[in-house]
Amino acid sequence: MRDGDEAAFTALYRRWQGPLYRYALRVSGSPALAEDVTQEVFMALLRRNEGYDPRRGEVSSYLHGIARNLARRRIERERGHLPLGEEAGPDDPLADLVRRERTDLVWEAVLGLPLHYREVVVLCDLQGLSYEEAASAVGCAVGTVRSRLHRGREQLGTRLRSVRPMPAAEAAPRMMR
Amino acid sequence: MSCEDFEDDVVDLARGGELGEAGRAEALAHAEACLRCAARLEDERAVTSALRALGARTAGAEAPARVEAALLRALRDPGPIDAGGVVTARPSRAIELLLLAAAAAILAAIVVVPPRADRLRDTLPPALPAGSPATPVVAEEAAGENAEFVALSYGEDLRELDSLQVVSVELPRTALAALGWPAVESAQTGSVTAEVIVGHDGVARAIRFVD
Repeated sequence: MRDGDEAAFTALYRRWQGPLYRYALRVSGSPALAEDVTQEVFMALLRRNEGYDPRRGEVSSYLHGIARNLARRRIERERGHLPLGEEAGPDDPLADLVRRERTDLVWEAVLGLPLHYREVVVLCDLQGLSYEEAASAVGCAVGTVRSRLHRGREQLGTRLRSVRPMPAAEAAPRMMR
Repeated sequence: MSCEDFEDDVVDLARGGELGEAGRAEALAHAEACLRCAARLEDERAVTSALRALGARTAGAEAPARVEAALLRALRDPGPIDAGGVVTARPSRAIELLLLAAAAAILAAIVVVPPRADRLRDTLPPALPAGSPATPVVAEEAAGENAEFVALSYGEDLRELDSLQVVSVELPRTALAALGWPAVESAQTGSVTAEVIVGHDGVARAIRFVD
């Protein structure tokens, strides 16, 4: 990519910008931060000489790992100053309003989690990464991911119950892949 | 299966993944026989449901087109990358917020110069097309009384604005460096003086460093 293969870079960008933008948005609640992080991930790819090594894990882990580090740095620096984002919604304003009211509470609860729990909840439950992929992105053991996810979800449940009754549970197949 | 074993599996059970068929059947059988674990499973399923709703809300979110445009510009002109510098296709939005906050905090330093507005228009950058980044800035180009203003907004011709104000602000160099502004080296200390062009709505439109 450092050779300037624009077509390859564009293909890579278009395949991954969405997931990486959504990761940063979900973990920070800030569209501005998500935009910056997405851009910086690919700038980092342009700067790096070693590039991606498939022996070290899936490309999703590699890119999420870069996004995670950049987002973490920004979140810690701008702690307390990140408003909940206003991302683009569908065309139906009323349905959108109801959905936003419900999910705002969930998002605020997610954003209220300690960052090391929040990252794993977002990676596994919102980004759809496997435990192994999340472990590679975060740079920890699979057992640590499982533990953080367990505790993060436990705290999330407590926070949601303290705000209002949670939505009726439904059969929950694995989230987005 | 014990309640302790169930607790180990309940998250996987509620998420619907990572647990084999046999393990899933065993855990569900335990939940049917244990009220406490059944309630625990319902709680975890509710968390899963809430997260799915959040995931659906943000499922279509993508980076704006200007990010791709900025990256392609950087790809086509990789010089500063090879030099080890930071190529910033556009200043972070945090910079804009910082500048506004600094301007408010140091009102005493504000110099409003309405009569200069017409003259200023001659020095303003042209409109940036929507989706394109601000011009990358290097230290030599960014500083000095003859430095040109660098646009902070997109798709807006600054020369057509009815009302312009020039706000002089002083900012610590370290704060700018920490926010990734490429004109300021992190090793430098002290403050930097900048002029910010603010529209009638109070939004910063352009900046230049005069120190």
